[in-house]
Amino acid sequence: MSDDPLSLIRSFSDAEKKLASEIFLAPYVPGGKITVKVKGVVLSASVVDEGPLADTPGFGLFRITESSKAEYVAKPTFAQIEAYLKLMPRVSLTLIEEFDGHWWGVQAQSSDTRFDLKDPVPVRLTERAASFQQIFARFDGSSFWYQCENRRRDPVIARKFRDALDRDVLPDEVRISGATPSELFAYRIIFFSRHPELAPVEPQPEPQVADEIIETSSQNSFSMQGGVHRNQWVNSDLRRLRDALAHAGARLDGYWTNGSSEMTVRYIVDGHTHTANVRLHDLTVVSSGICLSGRDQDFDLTSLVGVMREFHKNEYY
Amino acid sequence: MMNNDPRLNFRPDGRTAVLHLRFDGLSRDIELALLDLGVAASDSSIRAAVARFVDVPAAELSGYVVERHENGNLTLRPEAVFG
Repeated sequence: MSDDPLSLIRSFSDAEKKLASEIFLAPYVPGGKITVKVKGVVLSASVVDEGPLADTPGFGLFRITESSKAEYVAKPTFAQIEAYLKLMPRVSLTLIEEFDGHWWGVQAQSSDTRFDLKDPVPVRLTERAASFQQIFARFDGSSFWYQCENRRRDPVIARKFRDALDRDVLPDEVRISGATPSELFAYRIIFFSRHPELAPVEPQPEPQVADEIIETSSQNSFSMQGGVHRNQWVNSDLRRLRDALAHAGARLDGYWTNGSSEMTVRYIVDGHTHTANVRLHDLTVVSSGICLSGRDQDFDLTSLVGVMREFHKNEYY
Repeated sequence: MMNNDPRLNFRPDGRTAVLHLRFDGLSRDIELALLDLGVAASDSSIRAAVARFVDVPAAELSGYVVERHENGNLTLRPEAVFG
């Protein structure tokens, strides 16, 4: 490549024009922008025609229509998405909880020296996520994109952590064989966000007169001080689900949303694990996971618990 | 038994016992103390009390299932038809 600046600009301009005739793959979150790398330079474009991604975030094939504008062309295949993700470095994360529309994770393996994540990071486009689940994500330089669950990690460990949380076991008293520091760290974050009154009090530094405004990013909202989560994690969805199930003696095991008006809830009734789709705003059952003669919407999450007890008691399966 | 009977509100965790009603596509939580029910109230008494509370004819809740949970809460829901 020439060092002549004009030549570089010309070359870049040609590459940008060429891009207009190509279709490329990118992840997209409604309202956001897509990015594409041209000759090492990251270009961002607004999506004017989002297609099916208007409501639900996901991967899409896009085409540049005019300068800094793109349109959705088609849904990529699973193989195309995999090939795209493999272009980026992989990081293993332990999921914490959903907050502010994203699942957050902490680095699962501190031995991975390519990353040094001291604070939790948001993970985008997660699928069927649950607290303490270990996943692989790909980092594109600014965002972490969910790739898949780490299937080599025993899911029983994550379940034991969720069970300990449900029983309000203090972080220092959690004893789970095979637990990693990142899982214990995630446990502390969730536990103290639910029980801020139990968080150890750190000695506060002398107040100082600040002449400047200190900006904080959304990521900083998770910053830890002395291992204690300082900001109360207001997760109304989580609280609603827990309360709705607890009313009837059931326990929340996990839940996830896909950006639509529904959420999928995994819960445990008398040792049996069930999954149901419910409406976000009132927890009306959309799909109970069993055949209820098309009357699923007669029930909400709370009343579904008794239905599932009846289902097992009478062995309708 | 009046609604200030402390046994009415007994729950192992010390919270107030609640009846969860799922009726006509809507959900509602009602403190048991407001229903003027005894601890040994029958299913039909519970249905009748709830019908009065939400101001619907008792017949509309006649087919509803009453569930008593170990934590002291109740649920009143439509009958499930499996299959």
